[in-house]
Amino acid sequence: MALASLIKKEHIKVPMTAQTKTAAINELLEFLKENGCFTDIKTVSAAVFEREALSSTGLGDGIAVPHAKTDAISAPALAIGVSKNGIDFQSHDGEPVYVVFLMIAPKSQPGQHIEALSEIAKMMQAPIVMKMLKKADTAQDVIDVLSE
Amino acid sequence: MKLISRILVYIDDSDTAIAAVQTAVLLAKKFDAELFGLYVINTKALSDLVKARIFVESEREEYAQELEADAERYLRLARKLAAAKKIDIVAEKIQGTPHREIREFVENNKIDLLIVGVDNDRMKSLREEAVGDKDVAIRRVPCDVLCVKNEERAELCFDTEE
Repeated sequence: MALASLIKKEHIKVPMTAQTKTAAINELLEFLKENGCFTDIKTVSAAVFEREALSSTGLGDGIAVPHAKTDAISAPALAIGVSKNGIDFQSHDGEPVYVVFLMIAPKSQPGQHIEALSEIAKMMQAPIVMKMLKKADTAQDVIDVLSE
Repeated sequence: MKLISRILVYIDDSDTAIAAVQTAVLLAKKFDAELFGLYVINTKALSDLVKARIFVESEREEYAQELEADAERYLRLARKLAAAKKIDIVAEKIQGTPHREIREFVENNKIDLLIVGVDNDRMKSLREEAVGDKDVAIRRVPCDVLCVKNEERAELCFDTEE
């Protein structure tokens, strides 16, 4: 269950409306919940914010990868959000975030969770991909950028 | 010359890993081949995630421990499945970059068939930048490769084979 398996059009939100880190994470969590990925949003949210308290996942260059593992979800889920106005994510470079990958995984299958995050990290190293993602106007645009 | 004499099954915690092991055991029996199992603890990915700041150090350590336990669990299961069909399997875990370790194992052990479990969705094309380790291994090993996708079929064949 690596990245290709997790990218789903119905889990892509363009544009995001949130302007702060907390609101952005909540916006994508609600989005995944509405799509039936989990029911216990309180537990999932607590896991994400617990991780976020260790260090911001606003990585710089306009990208954030909040993530958590929790038994409140039975299968890994990935939400992708694109903001047109930028989100104050308390990023390492102090710049706003435009693309958010929110990854939630069950505590089992740690290898698959790591593999998916690793594939996101690899994509982040391609500036053209992130530049194109920031310009995406629709979920299909995001899919097109992430696909060959 | 035997068509298949040494089989390697790559073991991970993907949904199709067990089907891959079941298929490998059945083929080892059918071809009277030696069977090897390999689980690679992806320490390269853990380091990359720390470098990218996606993980903090404590997460790396936590996940490394979980992967160790995961590897033991899956290797035990592989040995159990092989034993059920009276097949010997040399199953081990190593640390590193999965596609490199798989290739090295194939070359060093003169493997002529690599078996991997592959999710159907994996075949959806992603940008080259994001290709996963298992896909890279499939492309780069010098031996033949069998991708196992159909879990139900593998399980049914395994359960009904005598």
